[in-house]
Amino acid sequence: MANLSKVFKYALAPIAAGLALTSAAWSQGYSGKLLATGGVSTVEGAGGGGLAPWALITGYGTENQIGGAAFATIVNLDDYRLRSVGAAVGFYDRVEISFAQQAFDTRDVGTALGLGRGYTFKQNIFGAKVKIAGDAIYDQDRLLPQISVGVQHKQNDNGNVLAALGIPHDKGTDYYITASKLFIDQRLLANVGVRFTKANQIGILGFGGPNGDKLKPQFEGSLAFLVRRDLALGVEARTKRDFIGLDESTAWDAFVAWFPTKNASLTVAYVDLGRIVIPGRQRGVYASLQLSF
Amino acid sequence: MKKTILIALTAATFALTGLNGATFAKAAPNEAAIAGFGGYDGLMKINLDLVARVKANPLIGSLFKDTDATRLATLLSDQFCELLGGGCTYTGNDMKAAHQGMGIKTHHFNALAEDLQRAMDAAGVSQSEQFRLIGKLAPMKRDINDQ
Repeated sequence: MANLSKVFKYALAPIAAGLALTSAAWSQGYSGKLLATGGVSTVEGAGGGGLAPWALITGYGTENQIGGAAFATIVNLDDYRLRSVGAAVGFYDRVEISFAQQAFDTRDVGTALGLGRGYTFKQNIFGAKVKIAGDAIYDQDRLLPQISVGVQHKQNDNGNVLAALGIPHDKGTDYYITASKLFIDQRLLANVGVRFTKANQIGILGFGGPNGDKLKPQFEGSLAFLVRRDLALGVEARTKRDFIGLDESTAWDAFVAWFPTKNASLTVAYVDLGRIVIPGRQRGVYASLQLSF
Repeated sequence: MKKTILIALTAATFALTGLNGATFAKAAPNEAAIAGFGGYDGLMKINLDLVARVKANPLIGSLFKDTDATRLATLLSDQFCELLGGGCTYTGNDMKAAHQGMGIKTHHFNALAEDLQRAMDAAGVSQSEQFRLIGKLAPMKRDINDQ
């Protein structure tokens, strides 16, 4: 419960700020974007797919509106369980701020590592994203995609455990640039991004390690097909670097996202997060519920 | 024999549509390009439905308060037909000039797009044809939007 109240404490600040600004923007209406174009919420809180952020700003606010999204995601892997909850606010379809709290339950692996059964790594992620060029939806007659840059500051509260594994930092900051383009005629949304990071397993296992302690570029991307305007099928991939020396590798997923209204979406995916500490790839099911406006 | 049946069918179709008052006595030069919308007649029906929807839409209805429904539906049908390769010619005002100073924002533009999607749904237009038309209309937002 303490954990939950902490989450609310963190999540409430951006929501309260958002609501204050929203009241000013409310006269301009709300949820003005087209269905699904706010995307879903990534496990790190930013608007996008599930693993990779999009250049689109989260929520349904247009240039004179504020939008937002709150989400709860669970990823059940062979040997671990990741839970992530958070919220994001999109200001005037230009700036997005986000927060996510992740809990990574090591289940039986915790016992094997001497951490205790169900030892859970927790991480808070504070994110910001700014649209710098283009428009993914309306520039159908131009090649330029929508381009955004973002930052994610991650605080992991497991410094002692990580130090024992030879991991130097329990805090780190990722920087990314991402480009998104919706090809409406082909019903395809393409997204590519580069992330400069030294995170191990997106930061859950800290930052840097025996194999390096400098930010390295990693690729992330996704491709989604719009079956209908409220239903998308797609794939995502995200490369990860092996700073610790435990064969960390690329994560990918195949997803279905359903947007019954602008206020809710449900995403279900098959994920393969690659090797996480113990031998063998970690595969499983990803489910995410998002509430948005 | 075949010819007779065809003529009879055509006559019957005209008679029926005539009774409904829903024939617009116009076909696009390239009806095949807009077959997914029911041809020019289909576009007209969709756009009459669209205009009725936008007039009733609380967000944008006031912008269309004094608009003649048939005239606007005809202009939109000509425009959609032209954009879809049907060979029609849009004769209305330049999009930028027609919308300047009206304070139109993205959410207004999208409200009309959503009404169009509803009208196309009601007319049974396939998803791929709907996306094809929406894709053609999307860039117009730049001209319609008041920055």
